[in-house]
Amino acid sequence: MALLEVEDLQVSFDTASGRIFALNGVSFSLERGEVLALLGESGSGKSVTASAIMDLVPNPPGAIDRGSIRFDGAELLQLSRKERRDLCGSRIALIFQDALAALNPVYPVGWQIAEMYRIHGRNPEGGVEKAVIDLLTAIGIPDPERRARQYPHEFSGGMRQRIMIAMAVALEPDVIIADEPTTALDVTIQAQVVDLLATIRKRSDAGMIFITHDLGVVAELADRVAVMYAGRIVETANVFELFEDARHPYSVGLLASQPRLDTDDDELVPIPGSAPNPVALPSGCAFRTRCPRAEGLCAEVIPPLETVGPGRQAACHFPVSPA
Amino acid sequence: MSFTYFLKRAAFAALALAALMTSAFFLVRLTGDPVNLYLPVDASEAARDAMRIRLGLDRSLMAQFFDWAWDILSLDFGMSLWHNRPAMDVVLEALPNTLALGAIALALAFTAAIVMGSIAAVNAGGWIDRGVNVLSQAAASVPDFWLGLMGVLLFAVTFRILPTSGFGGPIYWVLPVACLFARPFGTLVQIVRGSMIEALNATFVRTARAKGARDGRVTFVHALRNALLPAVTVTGDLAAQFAGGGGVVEVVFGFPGIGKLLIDGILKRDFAIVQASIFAVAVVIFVINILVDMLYASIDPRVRIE
Repeated sequence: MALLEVEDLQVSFDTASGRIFALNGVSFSLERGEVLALLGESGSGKSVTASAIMDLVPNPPGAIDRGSIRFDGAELLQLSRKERRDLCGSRIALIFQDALAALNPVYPVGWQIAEMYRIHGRNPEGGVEKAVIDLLTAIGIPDPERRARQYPHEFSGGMRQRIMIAMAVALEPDVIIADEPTTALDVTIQAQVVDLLATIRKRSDAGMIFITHDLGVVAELADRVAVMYAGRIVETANVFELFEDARHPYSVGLLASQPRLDTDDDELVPIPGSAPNPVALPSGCAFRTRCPRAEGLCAEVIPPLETVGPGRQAACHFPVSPA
Repeated sequence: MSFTYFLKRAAFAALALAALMTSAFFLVRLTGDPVNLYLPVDASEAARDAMRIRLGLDRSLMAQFFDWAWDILSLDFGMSLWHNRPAMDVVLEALPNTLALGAIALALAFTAAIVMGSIAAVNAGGWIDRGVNVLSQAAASVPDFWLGLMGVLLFAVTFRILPTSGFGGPIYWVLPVACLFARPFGTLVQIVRGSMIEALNATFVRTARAKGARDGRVTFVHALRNALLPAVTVTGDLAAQFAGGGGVVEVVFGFPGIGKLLIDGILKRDFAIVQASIFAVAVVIFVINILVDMLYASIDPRVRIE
């Protein structure tokens, strides 16, 4: 049994311009010790997926219409609010994108990390204070005793993101969801944060969901990739297969639109058009309006996510042939 | 807040105070000649001149001003004409009453507004929010003299459970406090509600939820402290206003505070009382502003001055 299993998840939001279906039947699973990248453009539903798992979908206007999220054998959507809260932070932790906004500006960072232990009534060996200092040391914050008393605005962007990460891993959760943790950072700092996540991943057997639109980070960190488009998963594959041999035309387009150093081909091929309006998605396959392979069938039937090889799936009527 | 910063503030405050006192000196003399008020209408010109000489009003305005300025610098505020006692002694008897009245009313208004505003923000758009909105709008817009008179009519005249006016035990404080409470309460509820809604939608509140914090902790530990600053600013402004006396409320209830003393002083052309009151109130406002700044820095580390 997988550690985390999301099945047919549908999430919608009431907005002024109508009901938006942010997730239209998302299914994926995560194993212990695995890093799964959720890859997609803005608005594809990556962050909503994370919110749904963390019980952070604001209701109203948002609602989980159907589907299931099973974690360690328990159906999360049937737990009480209080039971969900108890799991959050202790067993499933979330790292936010923008650490400056995500850390509370009026409390010292040490206090905010220590709060993890306090909320969940944990008493680490040697006391909470020592545990916080140890964590700060482990994530590479120099002079941790002094820094723990400082406030978020006194840290650099990279340091703040490290503190977010320290907070998330404090209680050694089973699942770590990182929601674009490197997007707001400089490239050099990005590499340090990715290194830190890779170290954490090696040290624990937690499963990690890594939400990103950055293929470089995916290549460095992920074992498996789930490509999302317009609230659906359109392809899952292990990271090497995806880069070498993508099956869904959207994945192919995504790869072709990124610069690569390992080929002489210096021409980038952007995907034509733009992401569809979530209030009025195209009928059938949502990608068909931008897809070079689309035919009549694509406008009529939504392609289901089907197995296209060992351990890989694609949702396309006319997938790209194996290389 | 460093000591040099404090000194700089104090120096600016001293300059402002000097300008204020100078204008007070000249303005209060525009109210008229006290001699005409204190002597009977048919008093002889000789008696009038004698009193003017005794009060030093016979000399040129400039000579009076420099004498007065020298006295102020040595903290001598002169004798009250009406009370026939040192003016500052009279002021220092009234000032604590006003400060206590204002502090009680504001502390109650601030506390109640934090609770009501937070509850409204958590239930934004719901019927509780709407109820709080109506109540706070009404409290913010009702004039305090009307509230005072209605309070007297209802509780003192009809029910006879509270005194109409005067001063003494706690019972004399109920109506004045209630009247001064209303407007700050209404204003602060609106401010707390707005800043709480903003804080509750902030990313760090999502973080707190993701950490597993319960609703109460999320609202009162994470959101509220961030939402406090605007409420503290407005409370500081209101405190500075109240330091000048509860104005109408002190007069309506015959409450022996600095506001009533100041108004009586102007009516009685008691120059020394007016000047001493203005000086004392200005010093109190300076202290309130320093306290608000310190409170600011203790609530939000980002405004701490290096």
